Amino acid sequence: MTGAPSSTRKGNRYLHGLDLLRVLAAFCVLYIHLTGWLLHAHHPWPVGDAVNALVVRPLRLEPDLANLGITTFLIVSGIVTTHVALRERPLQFLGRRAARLVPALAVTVLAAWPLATAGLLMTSEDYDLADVVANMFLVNYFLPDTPVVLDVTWSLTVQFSFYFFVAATIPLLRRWPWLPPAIGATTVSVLLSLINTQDTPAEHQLRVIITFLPVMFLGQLVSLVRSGQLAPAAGIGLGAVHFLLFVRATLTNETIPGGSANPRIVALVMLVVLLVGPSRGRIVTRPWVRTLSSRTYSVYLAHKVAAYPLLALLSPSIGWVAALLVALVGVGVATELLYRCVEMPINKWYRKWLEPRTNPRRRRPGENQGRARATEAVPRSR
Amino acid sequence: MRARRHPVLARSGLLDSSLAPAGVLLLRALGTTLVVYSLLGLWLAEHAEPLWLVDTAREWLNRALGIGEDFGGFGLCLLLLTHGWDEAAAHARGECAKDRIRRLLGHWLPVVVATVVAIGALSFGADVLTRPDTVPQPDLLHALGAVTLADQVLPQAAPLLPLAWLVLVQIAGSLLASASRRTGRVVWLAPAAQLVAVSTVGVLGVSPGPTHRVAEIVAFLPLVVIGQVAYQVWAREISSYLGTSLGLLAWVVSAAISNTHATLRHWWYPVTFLFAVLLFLVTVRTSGRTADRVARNSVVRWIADRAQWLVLLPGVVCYPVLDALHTRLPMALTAVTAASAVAIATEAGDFVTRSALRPRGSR
Repeated sequence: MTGAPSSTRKGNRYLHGLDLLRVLAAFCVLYIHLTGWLLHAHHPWPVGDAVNALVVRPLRLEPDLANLGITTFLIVSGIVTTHVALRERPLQFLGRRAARLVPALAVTVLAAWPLATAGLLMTSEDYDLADVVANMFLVNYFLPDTPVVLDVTWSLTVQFSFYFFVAATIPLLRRWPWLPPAIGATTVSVLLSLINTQDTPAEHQLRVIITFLPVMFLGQLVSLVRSGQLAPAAGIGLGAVHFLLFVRATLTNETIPGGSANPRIVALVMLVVLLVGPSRGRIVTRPWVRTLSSRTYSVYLAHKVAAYPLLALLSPSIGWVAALLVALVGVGVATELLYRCVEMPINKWYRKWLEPRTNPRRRRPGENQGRARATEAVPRSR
Repeated sequence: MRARRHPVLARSGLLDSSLAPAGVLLLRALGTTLVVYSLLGLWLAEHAEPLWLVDTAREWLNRALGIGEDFGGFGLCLLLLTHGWDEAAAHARGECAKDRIRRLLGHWLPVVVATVVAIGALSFGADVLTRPDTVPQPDLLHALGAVTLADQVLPQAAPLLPLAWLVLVQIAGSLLASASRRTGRVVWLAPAAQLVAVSTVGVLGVSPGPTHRVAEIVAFLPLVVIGQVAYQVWAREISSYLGTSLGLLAWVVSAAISNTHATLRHWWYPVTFLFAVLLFLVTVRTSGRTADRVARNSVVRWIADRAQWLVLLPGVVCYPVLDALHTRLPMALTAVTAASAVAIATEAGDFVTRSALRPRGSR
């Protein structure tokens, strides 16, 4: 916190705090899944007991910090993607998101396939090639009798839905910034009334998407208010509507999002994002924070695929503590491989080769530089 | 120090925080409004009177957020945080002893007035907010206990003004802050010393005994400390990391005390504390032109400047009016009438005490 209010150029200042929040969110996700494995294997887990006693119970959160990380990811993603959407065209926006997200997803699902088939990912399904292909593009969530290879990918259905919505409303976002979140609220409200059965996988997943979409819209509103596109009063009003939609979704369904603490988690994370996001202190501006932050998507995808098999294979022979340490190293290695060999190369290739072909106007030298700097005002989007 | 004088806040009277951003004034107004709202909600609950607004807010906000008591505890937390801020700001601008006494008297005098009104109302058989619900016909000892705030901490006493503990925490916080400043030039030592003192009382009061009730009230003192720390960070007296560490420590102390006292445990106060602190910090940090505009609103300023009155008087003015009218008028109209009665009583009390406390020679 600083005494001086931020300058009029605050909209162009890099939000270092979001980097730190993404790193913390990744740790939360990693923590809950490692805790889940240890509890499932009936190992004592004093760290989990301590976290539940010191943080979860006093703050009445979900056990083992469930949904804390994913809520942070969704809000931060809403902020970042809205920021870049204001500077991109709809197809360009979708192309960039797809180039960053889909290849890494597909590769991770392919890598997870044999491990899941061998029962090393705490699943017991038989997967054929069609199932795997469906999983690579998240179609599995909408098809009957299609098992999930990697369950953490559920949140990407929410993010992709938000990206499609943002892409479709980019012209509105530039002209009437209040309109897309208002349309989003109306649409979610109507869909919450219509979709409340879980008879088919598609209905279940649609309910998941419309439950969590308001969380991403909260991030969008933060971005719009911060960039000066939307008046604070309008942002607070629309934010209240989206928060109440999330509460409504929680009140009207017993299993999605699961747990009565979720509205509390969303509200707490939202306040923390508002507080920490604009920070420019010593810790948040460290290069390692930015380095870790850029790898959070790879951590998110790879941590289960790397950690669970190592834990399952090594804990009987070397004990669960040593196996846990090896698993953490494994997560680091898998993350780095996915980031350096898949996520970044394909993303760079797409930006270097494909974009000038689809948009010859941008080939002119120097034209991209201003925009490139502007998009750096918030952490890199996925 | 880069703190600036705020033109609106500088005019806002006894409780002003002229070194604060407008957000502090807004939070004081919000906290006060929430306390009044919660007292209305309490009366409705005790009389089984449904009111759509309160019922809806309970289901959609209170339960969802985990903030109980119809936001009353939350509002009081905001008032304690702003008090801590005011305390640190007053120290920073070199407030003299006379002014400090005058400021603390401004906090305490509403207790005296509210006690007199409560005793008057009870002697006429009116329904007044007391804890426990039925207080025997008050005598001089009751009055003395209420005015000195002793009934808030004595083990067997029944508080005549249940919310007067707020004033006790405010005065205790101010005295503790003054005492801890003797720790020297190291700025962060003062809040740290206050937290040590609070923790000691909290530990002493774990087991039932004379300090048990003191410890229950002391659980809220860390909020005053957090308010001071927030000011110190805002004024760049300490770094944000040190401030964050002290703030977290204060929350831990507060959560630990409320977790070890059976009477506090089921109120989920650690959740309320955290929401209040985060909202306070976010508002102070993002306070800008919009907050300035809202803070210029005369109603907001009126509420913020008369926070003490608006916390203490509803129990002794609003409740008798509600009790007398709710069977004769629609509930919404009764609530508006009761609120108007509180507003008139507040203005009268505030006018009298401001006149009494005004420094000689000033208008």
